[in-house]
Amino acid sequence: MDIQTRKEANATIVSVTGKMDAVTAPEYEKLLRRLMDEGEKSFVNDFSGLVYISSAGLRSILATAKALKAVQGRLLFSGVTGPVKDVFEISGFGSLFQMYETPDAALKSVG
Amino acid sequence: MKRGTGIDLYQEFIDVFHKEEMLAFFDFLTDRGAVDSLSGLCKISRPKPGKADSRYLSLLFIVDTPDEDAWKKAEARFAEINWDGMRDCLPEFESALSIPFTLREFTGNYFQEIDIYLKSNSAVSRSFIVGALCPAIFSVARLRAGEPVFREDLPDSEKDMKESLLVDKDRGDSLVSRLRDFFKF
Repeated sequence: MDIQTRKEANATIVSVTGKMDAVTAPEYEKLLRRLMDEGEKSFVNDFSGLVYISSAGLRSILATAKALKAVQGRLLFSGVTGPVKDVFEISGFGSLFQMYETPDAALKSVG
Repeated sequence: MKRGTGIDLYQEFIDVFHKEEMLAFFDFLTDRGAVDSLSGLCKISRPKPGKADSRYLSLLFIVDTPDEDAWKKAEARFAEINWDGMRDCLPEFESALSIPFTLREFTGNYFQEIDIYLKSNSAVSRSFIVGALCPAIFSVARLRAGEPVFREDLPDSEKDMKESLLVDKDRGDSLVSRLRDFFKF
């Protein structure tokens, strides 16, 4: 898994590629926690390069969302496709979170 | 694991999931955490207020199955669970419906839904989930699991949640009722 972040005016885009599993999910969670500690409250997860997500990945996302909710933060998603999209739909993540086609579309909604 | 033609059960499931809301989730290991156990996440949901004809809780088990062998192992593990055994350790238990489903393509995860129907005077709260429901699940399914993580606004007391479980008995949208409608039985 590879994670790249890009700070925009109103949110940080977190681009995740590869597989998010029990080994790599903590890395994602730790990074977002660190950015939150630095004051960032809005994130757009760009999952267009993510090909697999395990239960540990789902758990990390839920834990991050819960932490963000506590500080009135936001966690949005873009580019969720293929098997990862299926997992999102079945797990109910598709209705828990705001999903967008592209990071730009997600950024517009952050305002 | 391709979905069948004609009847789009996959979409039926997705439609039902959209009418449920998550209450909590927990991590688990099958086989009480034995060496060859499988890991996963269980989401506990309920019908959104006014969207169901029964008092049921939906358990969605998402098991990590990176290959076909693991998928078959997960399928076998869940097939051998006797969910009716919850009756012995959960007084509120009425019945259980196990619903395996197939996906459009292999995602690397095995999914299994169990709908737990509760007696009419049952109320769901954090204390019920932590103190009664989860121990019953862990025991019957032989899971080793972590503490459930709750949705922020889930009330602590039974009283607070009674109203939200009141249901429309004339028209329901539980998975069972949807499938009954679908197959006209």
